[in-house]
Amino acid sequence: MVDIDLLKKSNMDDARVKLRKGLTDDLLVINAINTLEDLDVQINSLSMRLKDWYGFVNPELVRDLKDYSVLSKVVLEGFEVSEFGVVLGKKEKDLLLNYAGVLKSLLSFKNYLEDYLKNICEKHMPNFSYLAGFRITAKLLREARSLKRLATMQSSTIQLLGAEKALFRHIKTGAKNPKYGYILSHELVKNSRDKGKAARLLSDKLSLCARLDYFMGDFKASEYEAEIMAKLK
Amino acid sequence: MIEINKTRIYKKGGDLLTKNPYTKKYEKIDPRHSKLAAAVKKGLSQTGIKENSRVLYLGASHGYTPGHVSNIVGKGGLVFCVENSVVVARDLVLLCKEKSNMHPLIFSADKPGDYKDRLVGVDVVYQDVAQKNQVGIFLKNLGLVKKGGFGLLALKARSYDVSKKPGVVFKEVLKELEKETNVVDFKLLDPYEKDHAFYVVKKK
Repeated sequence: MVDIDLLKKSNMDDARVKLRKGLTDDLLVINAINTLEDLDVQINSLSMRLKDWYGFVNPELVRDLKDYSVLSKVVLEGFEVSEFGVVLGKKEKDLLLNYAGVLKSLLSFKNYLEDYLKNICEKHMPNFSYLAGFRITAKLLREARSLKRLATMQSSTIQLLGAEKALFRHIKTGAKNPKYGYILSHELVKNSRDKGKAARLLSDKLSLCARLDYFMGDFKASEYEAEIMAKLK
Repeated sequence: MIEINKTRIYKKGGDLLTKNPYTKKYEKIDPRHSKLAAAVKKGLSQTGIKENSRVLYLGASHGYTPGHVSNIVGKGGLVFCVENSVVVARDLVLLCKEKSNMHPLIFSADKPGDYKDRLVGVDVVYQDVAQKNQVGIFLKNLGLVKKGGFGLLALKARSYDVSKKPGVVFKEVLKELEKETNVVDFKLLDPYEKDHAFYVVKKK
């Protein structure tokens, strides 16, 4: 006869140990990239709102502004009413300054998070992040769910990670097949004339890199990069 | 309040309820969240989960349906909740702490050998993992059940094979199950879950 209370205790203990071990480097990277992508979207839309608002005060400056990331700095440090601008009341001015302050702190947090992600990617997957860049590395890792699965993937699977929708459309309806997923945003692929070929070469080397990283191999990513460059010319 | 088909799930107005044996209160179970409730609402003839039965629940996730299954089996029964993902299992483990008849098992349902020793005499297997080899996993785990025990399978056709039509998949799976088991009941979960089907089988 099995003692059920004892069994429950042992099962709970096992679960507790597994929960504690559960925070792996993979999960850290995945959480960081998820937060970073959300922040990108939020900062963009908040900046657009601030632009609308500050546009009443200083329409000339806002029209010529290309990079919205400096907007909060402009509002905080150089708040001035231009020729065609409206003079705001004290309440409204305070509101705008507060808003700009929040946006500025969000931007600094985003920079901090980017540095963190870069560091942890370089530590966790040195070969892969050297070749792919930390953002693509993190996105591919998120799609693969763990480095173990990424290391066991074929290069053609890595090539199409992030293009699942197009791939399944291709399988289902026979539409054109996708040639690249997340690795399209890589410089080598983006600036290449034959993007399909570049994606193929890059994903080939990336799959090798993932295996090197998972099995604690040497650093060979720079050699691979040179090989890709030679083949693309 | 009426009991539906001796499943120990009760009906009051439009709501489905189960009775929590610890707090003695009735808890609502939403057919849009729980495939078991959806199947019962669609008129499933029997679930095989009775008072004091021991259930092996695969794909427990946050523990919504397992919590209600633990209500159904009552204090004398047991629910073994198998879940692979650690992130999702956090909520499950906290629920298991509250309810003494629930056991958390953080294992992959694909390898029953790993958690075989942590079970005692299972009567029913409930499986809802939405994987490609879902039916294979189900049949593997049915090996842990006694002869004449029940198996409940919530099948997601889109996970089984995206390129086939759901109707074709359901027939295919029915044939596969009939080879090794007696299929007792089969229901589509249509308005509550899209492209899902629910199978009740009895072990030969």
